[in-house]
Amino acid sequence: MRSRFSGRFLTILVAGLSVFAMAVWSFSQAAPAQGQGGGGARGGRGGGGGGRGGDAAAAEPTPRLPDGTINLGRAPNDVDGKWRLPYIQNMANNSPDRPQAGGGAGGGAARGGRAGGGAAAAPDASAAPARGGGGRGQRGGAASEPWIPFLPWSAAIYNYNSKNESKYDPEGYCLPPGGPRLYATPYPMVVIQQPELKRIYLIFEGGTHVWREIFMDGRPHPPKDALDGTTWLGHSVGKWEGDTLVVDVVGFNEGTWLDYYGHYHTDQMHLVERWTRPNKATLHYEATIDDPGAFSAPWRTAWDIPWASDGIREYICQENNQYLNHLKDDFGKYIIDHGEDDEKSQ
Amino acid sequence: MQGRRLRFVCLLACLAIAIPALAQFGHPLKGSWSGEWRENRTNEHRILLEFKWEGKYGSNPEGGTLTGTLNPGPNSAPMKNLKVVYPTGGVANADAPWQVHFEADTKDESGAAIHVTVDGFLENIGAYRRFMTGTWQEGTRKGPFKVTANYGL
Repeated sequence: MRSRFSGRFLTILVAGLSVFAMAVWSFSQAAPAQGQGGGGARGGRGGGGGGRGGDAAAAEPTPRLPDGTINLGRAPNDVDGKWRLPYIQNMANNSPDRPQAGGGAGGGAARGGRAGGGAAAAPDASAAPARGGGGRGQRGGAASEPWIPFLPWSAAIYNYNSKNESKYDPEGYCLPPGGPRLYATPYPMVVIQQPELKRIYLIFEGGTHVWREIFMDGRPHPPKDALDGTTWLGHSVGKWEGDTLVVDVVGFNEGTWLDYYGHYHTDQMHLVERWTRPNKATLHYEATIDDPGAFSAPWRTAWDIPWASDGIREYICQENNQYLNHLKDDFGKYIIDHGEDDEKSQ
Repeated sequence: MQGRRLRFVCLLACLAIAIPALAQFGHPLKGSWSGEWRENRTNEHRILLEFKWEGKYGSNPEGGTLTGTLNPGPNSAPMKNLKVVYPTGGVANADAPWQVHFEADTKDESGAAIHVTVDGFLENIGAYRRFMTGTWQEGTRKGPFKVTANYGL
């Protein structure tokens, strides 16, 4: 009798611990909850996370390929490794052109991961709260980011996205991030260099499992007519300037936003990306956004990307992404036709 | 079983249609728009509009040139005096409609020259079903109109 009781108790205990362990595991896999790791109540897994090893790697020198070129990926003695892309909601806050609190432009100081808050100059007090790019309900729109050279229409749409808290963010629909947002969506990235083929590949765990191919063979971009508005990630050609990889990208479509906050771009966007690896643990990314369709002048944004010693995993954004099913337009009408439900909602 | 499979295929087809339909940002007026203006209860007239946006650094206060065509095709007419007025008041008023005005010289159904004047409001700006409503005037005829954006990257 006693042993039967002990057996039952043990079974219940083991079952209970299993449930608890699964709950903890599930929770650790769950945040942030947006289509691809953004800030809304959206589907998808989110969160690159994992893979410590940055501190140790920071002390290590920058790895190089046998020909002396900077190695932007795993070194031969690495068991695994990836770049843990940060979550940057508002790229304006990471602009080196942003005035710092003490005055003057920031130069290269706008490094390091997360943005989304912080004080900013607000020249139009009537139109903007005192904080630029603040948290929920505090978004100041274009007036809170005077260092971003908006055009009248792009300022108006940015204000609109600020007011509705980016509810039309295409990443919420599991569409791929475009331009610099590829490196600000918090899923890991792996860089594979193939000097013998004169190619560099960037593989993204998030971003709907997309990849980029950078041509390093000196080829020009195809003619504009062949590219105009046709690609999500653009056509990329790269070259080394010393230890800096400079990548020139054109040919974007208009299916993406620059960031979660809703800075628009157009298919006139020309992107110049500069990559450096100052030590093993750090990849520094800087992008110059040259888009006369949306801005009155080019502007820059930049951040560091930390190294993590583990590998990439599988992530399917579309799996159980309910966001589109619940999204309503400005008049309360479902974006996707729900038939009968749609009529009830009106 | 077959019914479930059919439903699944239909769902996939709907998603395949819906997702590209959502994917168009850039200048909110850019692209083609279709709809009608209503002269009276029995006379509705189809409208097709096409707008293009070309930005250029330092070109003008708008930062570029917005052009438009009324009824693109053999009877097309370029828009004149095309003007967009954006909401003022920052984020607080950011969901207010954008005012759009344009004119065009074209021909009516009988082939007679006619001047068109349009004053509209662009709404639902971030959604793929963005639309423009307002007043359409062709010569002495006048009535309300509505056009909805057609999408495709």
